[in-house]
Formats: sequence, structure tokens, C-alpha cells
Amino acid sequence: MKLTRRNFLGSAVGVLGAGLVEGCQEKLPRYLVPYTAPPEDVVPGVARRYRTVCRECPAACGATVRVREGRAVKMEGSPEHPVSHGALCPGGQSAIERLYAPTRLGAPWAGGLQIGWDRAEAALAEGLKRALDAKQPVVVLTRPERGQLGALFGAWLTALGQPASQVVTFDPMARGWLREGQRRAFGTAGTPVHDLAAARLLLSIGDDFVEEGSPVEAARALAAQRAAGGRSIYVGPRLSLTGASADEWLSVEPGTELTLVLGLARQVLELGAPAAALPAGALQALRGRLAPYDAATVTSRTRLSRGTVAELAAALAGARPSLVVGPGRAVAGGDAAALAEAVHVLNALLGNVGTTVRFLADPAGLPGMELAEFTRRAAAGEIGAVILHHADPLGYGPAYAALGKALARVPFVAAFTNELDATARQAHLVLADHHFLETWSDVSPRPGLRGIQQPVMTPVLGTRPAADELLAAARALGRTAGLPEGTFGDVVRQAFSEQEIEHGLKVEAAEPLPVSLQATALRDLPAPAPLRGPGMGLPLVVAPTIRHLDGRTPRSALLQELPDPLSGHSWTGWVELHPTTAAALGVKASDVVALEGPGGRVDLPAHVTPTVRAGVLGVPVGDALPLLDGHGPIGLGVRATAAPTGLRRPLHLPEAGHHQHGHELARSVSAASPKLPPQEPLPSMYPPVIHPERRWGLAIDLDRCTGCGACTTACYVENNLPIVGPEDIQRGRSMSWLRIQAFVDETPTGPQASFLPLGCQHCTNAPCESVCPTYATYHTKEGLNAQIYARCIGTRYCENNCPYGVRRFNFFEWPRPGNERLGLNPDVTVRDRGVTEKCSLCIHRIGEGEELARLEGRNQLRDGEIVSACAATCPTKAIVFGDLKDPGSEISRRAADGRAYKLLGELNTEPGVVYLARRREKA
Amino acid sequence: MPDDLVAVFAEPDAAASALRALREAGVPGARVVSPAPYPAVHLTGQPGAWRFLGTIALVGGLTGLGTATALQVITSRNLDMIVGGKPPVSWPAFGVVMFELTMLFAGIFNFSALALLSALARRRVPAQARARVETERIVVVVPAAEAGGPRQALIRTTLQGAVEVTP
Amino acid sequence: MSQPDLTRIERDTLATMSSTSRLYWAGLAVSVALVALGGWAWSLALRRGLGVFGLNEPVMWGALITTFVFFIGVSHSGTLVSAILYFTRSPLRAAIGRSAEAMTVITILTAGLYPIIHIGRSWLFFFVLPYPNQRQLWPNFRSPLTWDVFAISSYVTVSALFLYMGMLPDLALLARRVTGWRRPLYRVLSLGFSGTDAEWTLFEKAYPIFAGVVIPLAVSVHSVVSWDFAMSVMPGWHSAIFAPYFVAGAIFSGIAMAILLLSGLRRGYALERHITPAHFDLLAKLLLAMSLVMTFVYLTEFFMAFFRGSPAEVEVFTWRATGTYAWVFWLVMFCNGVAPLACFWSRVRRSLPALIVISVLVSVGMWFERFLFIVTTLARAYDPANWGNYRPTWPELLICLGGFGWFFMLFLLFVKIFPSMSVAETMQHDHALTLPAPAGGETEASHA
Repeated sequence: MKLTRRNFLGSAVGVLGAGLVEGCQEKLPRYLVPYTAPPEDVVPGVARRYRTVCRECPAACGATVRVREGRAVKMEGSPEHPVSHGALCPGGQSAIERLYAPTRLGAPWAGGLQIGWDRAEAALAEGLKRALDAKQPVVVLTRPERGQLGALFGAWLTALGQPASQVVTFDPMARGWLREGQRRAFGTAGTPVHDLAAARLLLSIGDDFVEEGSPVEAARALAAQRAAGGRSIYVGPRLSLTGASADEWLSVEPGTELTLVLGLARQVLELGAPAAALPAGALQALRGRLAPYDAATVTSRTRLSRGTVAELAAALAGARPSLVVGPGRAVAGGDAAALAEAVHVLNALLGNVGTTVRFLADPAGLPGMELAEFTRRAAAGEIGAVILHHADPLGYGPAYAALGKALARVPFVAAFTNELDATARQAHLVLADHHFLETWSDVSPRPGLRGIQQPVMTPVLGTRPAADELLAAARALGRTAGLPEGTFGDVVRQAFSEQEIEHGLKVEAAEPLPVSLQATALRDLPAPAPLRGPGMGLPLVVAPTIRHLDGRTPRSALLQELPDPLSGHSWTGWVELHPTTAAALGVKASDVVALEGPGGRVDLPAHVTPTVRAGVLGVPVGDALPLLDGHGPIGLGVRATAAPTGLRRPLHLPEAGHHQHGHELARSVSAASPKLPPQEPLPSMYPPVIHPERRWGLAIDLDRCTGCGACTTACYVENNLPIVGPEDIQRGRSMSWLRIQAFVDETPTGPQASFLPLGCQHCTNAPCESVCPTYATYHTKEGLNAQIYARCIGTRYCENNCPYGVRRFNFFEWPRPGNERLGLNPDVTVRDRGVTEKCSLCIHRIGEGEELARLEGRNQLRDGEIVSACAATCPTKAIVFGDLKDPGSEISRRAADGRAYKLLGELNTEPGVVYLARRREKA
Repeated sequence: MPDDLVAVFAEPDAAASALRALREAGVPGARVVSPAPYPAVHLTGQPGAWRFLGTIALVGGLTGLGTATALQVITSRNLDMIVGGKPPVSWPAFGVVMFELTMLFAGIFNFSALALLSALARRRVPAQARARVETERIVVVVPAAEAGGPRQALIRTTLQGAVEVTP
Repeated sequence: MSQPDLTRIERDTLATMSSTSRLYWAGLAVSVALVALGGWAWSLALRRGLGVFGLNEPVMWGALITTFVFFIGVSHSGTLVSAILYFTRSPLRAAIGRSAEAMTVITILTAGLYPIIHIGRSWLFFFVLPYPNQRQLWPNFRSPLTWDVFAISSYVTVSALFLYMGMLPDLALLARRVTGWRRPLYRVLSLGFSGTDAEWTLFEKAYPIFAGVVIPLAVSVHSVVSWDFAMSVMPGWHSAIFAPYFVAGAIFSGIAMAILLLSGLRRGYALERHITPAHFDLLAKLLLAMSLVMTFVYLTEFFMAFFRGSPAEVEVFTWRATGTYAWVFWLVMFCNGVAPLACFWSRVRRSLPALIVISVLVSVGMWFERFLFIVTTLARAYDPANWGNYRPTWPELLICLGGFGWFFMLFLLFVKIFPSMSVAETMQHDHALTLPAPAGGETEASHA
């Protein structure tokens, strides 16, 4: 039974009527209409929206969840949230898929068996009791929880008679070196806030901020910065998404970034940077400390030409304000802290502190326990019980091997989790927690900002919220002193006003921290480490990926299906080798390479590409984990050896690689004069097609696209796209309606990456339409290229005749495991085997919008009233949906831009999708 | 008619010369039944012209053309869907089906005409005479009207080449 | 039916019907087995989905469509050749016309299966037919596939009638000859044809008209099939040369297939007297001519592509000759361009074994030629990031083999039930040969 709205409601009636649940073949959920909101204001067929917070990563974007018939079907960014601004990243878009994923835990586990909640709660209390009786400390090991839950942990420990400080925060994404550097440079512990958008020149020292950190916010800022005409330069051994979006990529020798930054600092000082803010003494000291980093040294180490460095220094000194960010994971070596310090100093010298770099005072949080200390004590057998809360250290491979051993010595480990992750497998008791869309909480991504997380539906599975389980355990032990009476949900609700909850957001004052450069800055810099030499192996770049963040497991099927933005690979790991490196190793594309690192060995197929520096191994963080040790999912200057294995693991790639081969698909214009030659409409023997009222379309600004893939992911969720799995991806049967094509073209100035989001072009003269023998696809009065699934017999002629190759064919009845049926969008048909499908431009959203307008008696639609899923979630607003006939609309404005062009215009297909060429300094 | 003169020839040429002789003898009404289109079948005076066969095929073709045009124009108008930027009635695209149906109908009309007309035509030769024909056996029939009377002897002599003559 | 009193002509022309060799049974068994295999492979696709094939994005058409085009091509020899022979009053016709026409009908019946097999929802194939329905839905007459439906169905109807029409006199004879269940069958089928002078004249008036209808149809069918590709916007497909190119290719492969079938009949049923080296010599000359035409077309395609110099075109054609499928390309060049050149030597033209080898090569070459231009264009279209590859899976190949089994099965059954040579025409033909005067007299008479 495919879940369409019709049979969904049908079965709802049937099942509510009688205890048919058991009778049914399909396992139906216990509650078919499980409302968390009062039922009277729920109309079947009408969506409700709830504000909450995305918890897929610590950035904690505000989100709006679309709920139909009591089931969350789509998550969007919350327009009023300062972080998300209505957008979400691929991770956020995949949250719905995780919610219904078959890998989710539905019940507590113990000893490898499912158990009932009574037994689980008893076991929890029992385990804690033993620890308490043995006078051994109870520790909470949790993901970052800056909010009510963090407070509750403290209160709970206190109630158990434990020091509230026994909360260990496990955050593999934390970049500790930044704080350390900041402490050395300014002597303050505050939260740095960067104003990327304001920077005239943005220099990123290996900081891939659109992939690590807060993708949505950073990408939006970067786009704004480019739109304002700012320059951006990326320094790093591997071309990341940030680097691809930047104007220039400086590939420096790994490990020499510090030299470069110090060299820049020195030259900036020589150029008389606005260092007035600095006390003269400090300035003098600095000059002395920077002395050794003259141009010659910098050139010889970084292998950058004198000219390049001088130019860069001049540009920095000239740009008001500028901004230097980093170091990011990709370049964080052994000297990460020093590098961070140097970056801070450079910013200070450039007078950016206070303008583009500000520091906010951290809220008075509870003092926590350091992970290292916990590991030591646990290994010593001092810890009596550990409560794991969505913390999965063992999921990161050998990096936390020590912690793993230590945990093994803890007599009682209970894990609250959504999926049976590596650490949970080691735990004595696994407690299935609610998904974040099913429970109350709050989270503070940065000082002054609180996101409120509220349940949008009753749980899909038999899970229970962690906080309430802890409270229950405390009550069972009779230690409720200082603990709330009711549930944790009540606590959160009392903490915020109705209005705040409704908006899912609370903004507090966050006073900026005055900072000044320490006299001791750059005092003790590490001696330059040797870069290359026999037996040293090759520098390993652990590349952050927007798909898998820090490489956590288990991974979302949807995100694994989503191709990596630059390499285009799905469902597999790979190692990036520069052609020269590959040649030196005697490796060709898709040959399996054995990598040997300090942590161990891993075999990965080779992805030969110029986007990584010669003599460097680039590995996505998730796949590099087995190689690492000691520092979590971060390279920190790790080196590895590579050797061919003689095996092959074909990667699904266009065999010709990613060049454009002279096909001008993703175009660029010179930033100086952003104009393309106009495309004259070609003559036609037929009268022009008339669109009486509207002509829907998309305008895609390649200058703003960072290739993150949020649009693709959103499309999957919105339009019930099936996940076909590795085998069929390998065969080239991806069902994605909107794909991001990355082109890497060799230019005199090095490899040049460009992204091209490509979906149905909704052509006026669509080649696909006229060849269909059954009228299964046609051109609507509103300019859509519509597909009539019922009429499609699957000749696939349309697919052959689509010059853009955007049509998809259902080769099988694709599986929808677990409860994924429940997550289907009832507004969109689930396509049958044997039919062709493609981007519908979210025709159901158009219909809904027009209907609402009609109900309000309006015929005219406001621009932006209707938004396609891809456009809605684009962090940089690279994609804009609208009516090309409405002169006032944003899309029309873009279409009139000098950079506007139509893809393959020479074919005279008259697409409804307009592309805006990317601005480049050298184009 | 029982007293028709039926001569069976084994040799196509014999039959042919016999027929020529008959004509000279002033016996126009002789008919021939042959297993194959031997020259003989063209030597009887009255096989009929059948010139209008071509016209029938033409009529068929025109019918097909009309059918195709009507079918395409009417159905496309009814659906009124824009595909590929072409108007519902886009003649160049309709040309193919128009041609095909023209040819199809022409063929069918031609064949049906053949079937019907031969059914009528063969009646002119009595059934039992027709039954005598076989592979390499050609039958010449002289109707009683002409075979009877004084000239019978003469006629029989012209039929000497026959392997058998009845009655 | 083995009456002792069969005349010599009957013994020869009806040999396929009268005697059933062990070889025949073996051949039939093999073809039926192939059909069964193919059917099973198709059932896989029906049960699991087209995913069992090697198709993917971007290559959505593969071996099945290749085989479809191949068989449509083969179908051409028959009716077309036979009709042309009729107008040229060629002596060959008496010998090969019948089997050629039969081959046409049967190949179309085979080819017609493939579009139905290869579509995603075979059970809905009737959506392409213009049948009245309460939803007022009709096929899209702007689609080349709809044209295909009409072209192919018209062609198969007319070819079948053409075959039937030519068989009427024989059926009449057979109705007299045979005993048992076939007698009423032939009597009914012969529509009472009895060979009176009037009927013959009528017949000879109607037949040329019909032949005149058949020839343009035959030409149109393969043109329409070629437009399936030429009407697209794809590089390497969108070309005006396609229609003549396909028709030539069709005749080319058709002749090859005709040579194979005839040599089979000739050997199997001792028809040396009727199917003479002279006939094969003529066919070989035709084959040679067509081969030269094909070579010319291949060269023209490349010339055009590079002359236009649109990146996509250049890409496709360069890749055809040098890319993944280069081996197919050169195979095709050898089979269709080089091998038939041997027919310049009369010794080759008159040596049956040599002709058989060449014909097999040509048939193989023509199959791969269709494979080549279908797959390379799709695999290498406009968007470099969407380039792909295609390798047929074994279910696909089984279905293709099944098609050949189906074809031979039907052909074997046909020669068993109907005379594979025209008795009447053979009689007429033999008589003409026995005439002292040159054959001209006979023809002049029979077409007066």
C-alpha cells in the first residue's frame, strides 16, 4: 500500500473504527492521528506549521516543521530566526528522513535484547544505585546542551549527591584551538562572532565555514559579501566548498599556514596597518617576533610566489574592513593554536577587531569536566556510572580508543540515543530517546540567542524522553531534592512565554567583550616543523563535508545518497589525489588505495582531481576516521602513507571527469564588466506560445551557489523522491529531480570549480513533450512542463530527448523501509514503477498558494508568496522561484540582469529557468 | 450447362493456338480456365477491362487521407494541449499519419475490390468446367450456344491439341 | 501430403510443405527454445521492473530498441524487393518473391514486440492506439512514436495482404491437391479463386496497383523509424540524412537476410533448379551497391558533424570512433563497409559459402550499427556531467535472442503451411523459358 492522502485517511477511518491494526498486513502506527495540538483546529488535508530548532548540528538553526494529519512531513528554516533566515542545510533537510528511518531505536535495549520500559527504568535506577552505594561518581557525558537540559543535568547530579560539575560535554566539532589561540592573543574567553558580510576582503585560512561550523549562516553571509562586491581568498591544501566559492584559491604547502599568516602580519605592519589600537610597546614586541618571517622565508616554505604574498598583504592592508578567519579543520596541524593566535593577531593588526570580529561574553555556564580528565578517571576505574546522552565517541574510530577502553571499565553505562550507535553497543543499558521533533528542549547556539525546541507530533516509536527518564530514575531512588515535579517539558514551557514558544526563539542581550592584544601575543611560537622527508608519509587533509559534518554514524541514508558537492560521489568514501600524485603512486581513478595512518588502515578508491594539492591526501572526514588517533575527527597534522592495492572500486562519475569540454553550461563573467552577450530568440515556424496569466520559473544565481546541496535534499523530502541505494546509484539511476553539477575546469590560474544546480528547465518548446506518444507530459498554461504519471507508459523517449538530462525513470518499485511511508508528503503522488518523473516546480505548492489567494478573493499573487522547496531552503538565495511575467518580481529582476542566460540557448528550448553567470576576477 | 464443350489442354501453347483458331473460326465466346497466367488467358475476347480498379484504389486513398486528417485534427483540438511549443493542430507533424492511412486504405480497397469482382467474374464460366483445371492443365470452354449445330465438327478439330474433350 | 501424382513443378515448389527433414525439426526446436528463454527474461522485467536491464540515466534506450530497428530494417528487403522485382519483371521473383514477402511480414511481427517489451508499463501499451474512450484521451499525433504505430501497422497490414494476394492462385491449387484439415482451410483462404481468364486479367490489373502502394509504404516505414531519432535534438541523431540512411540500411540488411534464407531453402529443399547462382549473383550486386551507399552515409555523417563544428556533435562523433565503443564502430565499418567489397569479384558473388559469410557479417554489422548510434549519442549528449555508459545485461540479450528465435519459428511454420515459392508464377516462368522466343514475349503478354 503506497501512502497517498486518500488511502491514508481511508485507513485512518478503518483503523480508528476497530482494532484492525493487528489484522492489517502493513504495520500501521498505533495512533494514526496523533495530535500534539488540540484536534479541533486540525483540518485533514490542511498543513499545520510548528516552530522548533534543528538539532542535526550544534548550529541549531531555527526551523518550521510542516505537519500533515499529525505527521511531520517537511522541515524548513524559520524565517525569523537569525541563524537560519528561513533556510536549512542538507543535514537539516534530512532530519525528517532520520525521524522515520528504519535504523531508529523504538525501545530500550539491554544485553543485545529489546526490553520493556519498566525493566529499563528499573535497570537505570539499579545501576545508579550501585554507583551511589559504592560512593563512586556518576558522570553525564552529553552532546553540547547549553540550555535547560544542561541545567537539568547539573540539578540531577546534585540531587544524586554528586558535584554538578560532573557533566562532560562531547563535541567533536568543537575547534578548541580557536579558543586557545584567542586566549593567547587576547587573554579572554569569549565567543567570537564574525561579520563575514561586511568584509571587503575575506581571507580564510583553511576555514571551510560553509561546510563546518554553521553552514547556513556562513553561506548566507558569504553570498552577501560577494554580492556587495567583496573579495574572498581561500588558503588551504584542498579546494573546499568555501574555496570553490572564493575568488581565489591559494594552495599552500600543508603545515606552512602559520608561516604565511605571520609573514602577512609582518608585511602588513610594514605597510603601516591601522595598528593604532595597539599599545606602542606591544607593537614593538610584535615587530621583533615577526622579524624572522620575511618574504624569502615565507616563499621558500609556502611555495607561494613573493608577488602573490605581497599582493595579498597589500590587499589586506588596503581593504577596510577585512577579515581573516580560521584555521579550520583542514589546516589544523600540530600548531593549530599558534595559527589561531596568529590569525587573531593579524585581525587585530588590520583593525578588524571590533568591526568584523567581535567577542561576546559567554553565559555563566556550569563548570564541566574535561573529556581528557574523564577518560583518565574512568580508565583508573574511579567512575561508577556514566549516562551517555547523544554522545557517541566510539563512532569516531580509533580517535577515542582510549575513551572506549576507559568506558569499558565503568561498571554501569546507560546510553540515551536515537540509533544504536557504536558507543551504545558498548553500553549496559540503551534507552531509546525521542527524536528532537518529538520532544521539548532548548538550545543556545551563541550567547544571546535561545532556540526553543517543541514536539511537533506524538512519537513514531515507543521512545521516551531522556530528561524524564532521568527524573524518573531520581524519583525511584528517592532523591528528588531540587528537581522539578512535572516533566522536563513543563520546565521548558515554564521557562519561556507562549509567544516565545510560538516563535521558537528567545533573544537576550549579549554584551560584547572589549578585547585588546596581549603584550605576550606570539611570544612563544612553535619552531617550524619539517614538511617533507623520507618515511614521513604524505600530509593527510581531513576534509569536512557538508553531508556528514564530523563523520558521525550511523549516517542518514538520504545524505549518503546525496552526491558530494565537488567530487559527485554517493554512498562511498574516496581519497583525493592530484594527478601528479596519482601518477607517482601508479594509481588511476577508481583504483583502490591503501592508506596507512597512525590510527590504522583504510582502503579507499582514488578520486583523481586537481582540486587537491600535489603530494597531499584529501579524505572526507567520515572516511578518514580509521586513520586518525587522539584528536577526534580532526587531522591535526596527521600524515599517512598511500599504496595501490591493485583492486578497483568503480566510482560513478562521468568517465570524462568534470570538465565542461567546451560546453558553456556553467558560465562566468568578469567581475569588472558582468555582462554576457545577449541570447537572441531563434526563429520558429510555429506561433509563439501564450501564457495567459503567469509563467512560473526559477532564477539561479551561480554567483551565490555554494553547491551545498540543501536544495537537492529538500526536493527529496518535499517530493517523496525514493532513495535508490548504492548499487543503483552506481548504475546511474539516481532519482534526484535537482542535481548540483560541479565542473572543475583547468585554467591558467589553476583549477576553477563552478556549480550548476540543474533540474527541469520547464521549456516553452520542450523537446520532451512533443515526442511523448501519450500526452504524458505537456506545457501548462502557467508555463510548467507537467508530467501526467497516470498517462505515462515509460517509453523513456522524453528522457532521451531532454538535452539537459533531468528526467528520471522508475526502474523499480523503490523500497521505503521503516516508517518512511509516514513521512511521505500527502500532496505529492508516489510514482509507480515504470513511469518517468522529474521536477514539477512544486506544482502542489503552486496549487495551494493559488487556492489560498482565491479564497482571499485575490487573483494577483504577491511575489514570494509561493516558493518551491529548493528555493525556500537555499541558504544563499541562489535559487529564486517566481512569475516571469510579473515585472515586479525578483525573478524578473534577475532575468533582466546582464549576467542572465539560458542553458543551451542555441537549442531554442526557451527554458523557464534563468541562470546568472558567476562573477570571476579572471574570466 | 451440360452440353458446353470442355477441352482440357496439357500444353499452354496448345491451348493458346486452339483459342486463336477458334477466334478465326468465328467462335468468340470461348473461355479459358488456367492454373497460371499463361498467354492463353489473354486470348479470349471478353475477360473484361476492369479499368476502374485504379479509381477504386484512389477513392480508398482519399478516404484514408480524410480519415487521418479528421482523426488528428479533431482529437488534437479536443485535447487542446500545447506540447513542445507546437499548437494543437500542427500540420507538418500530421503529414506522416495522413500518408500512412492514405496508403493503407488504398491497399485495402484495392484488395477488397479484387476479391469481390473476381467472385462475380468467375461466374461466367460454369462450375464443373472450372473444376477441371489443375496444375499444368488448362481448360478451354466453348459455350453450347456456339458449340452446337453444324459448326461443331469444325470446332472439335480446332481443339485437337487437347488431351481430352467433353462431351 | 505426398500424392504420387504431383507434377514436377509441384514437387519442387511445394517441397517445403511435403517433406519434413530432421533438420527442420531441429531448427524448429531451437527457435522455440529461444522464444521460451526470451519470454522468461521478459517476465523478469515484468515482475521486477526494467531495472533488470542495463539501462540508466542517460542511456535510456539500448539493445531492445537496437533489435527493433534491426528487424524493421530486415523487413524491408521482402516486400520492397519483391515489388521492385515485379515491376522490373525480374526472373528472380518467381523463385524468391514469396519467401521474401513472408519474411517481411514475419520480421515486422517480430520487431513489433520490442517496443512493447521495452516500455516501462508494457501492460498499458495500448495507450498509444487511437481508441475511443470515455476519458476522451487520444495519442499525441506530434510524436514520432505515434507515427511509428501507424506506419508499422499499415505496413504490416499491407504487406500481409500483398503476400496473401500473391498466394491466392496457389491456395486454389492446393485446395484441390491436399487432403485432411488443410483442404477446407485452403478452400476458404483461396476466396474461391479458380483461374478463369477474367479472374487472371483482374488479378493482373490489381496486383501492380497493390505493388505500387507497397513500395512507398515500405520506404516510409523506415523513414518514420529513423525519425524517432532524427526528430530529436540530440547530437548524432538530429540529422536530415537519417531517412535515406535508414532505408538504405534496411535494404542492405534485408538483402543479407534474404540471401541467408534463400540459401537455406535452396539447400534444404533441393531448389537448385529454381534458385540459381544467377539469382544470388544479382542479390550480391545489390548488396554491394547498398554497402557502398552505407559507407558514403557514414562518411557524410562525420563530415557534417565536423563541418558544423558544434561541440556536442564533434564530441559524439569523435567519441564514436575513439571512445568506449570504438570497437563496435570499427566492427561496423568492417562488416558493412569492407567485407561486402568482396562482391566486386564474380567468383565471390557466385560462391554460396562466401555470400553466406558476407551476409552474416552484414547482419551482425547492421545490428551493431544501430546499437552504435543509439547508445553513443545518449551516452555522450550535451551535459558532460551527465555522460554515462551502457552495457546490456543478460536478460536483455536473451530477449534479443528470443526475437531471432521467434522470427525463425514463424518462418519455419510458414513454409510448412504455405508454399514458399509461387506455384503459378513458377509455371508461368518455366513456360516462358521453354518458349523459343526470348522471355520478352511472355512478359509482354502477361502485362498487356
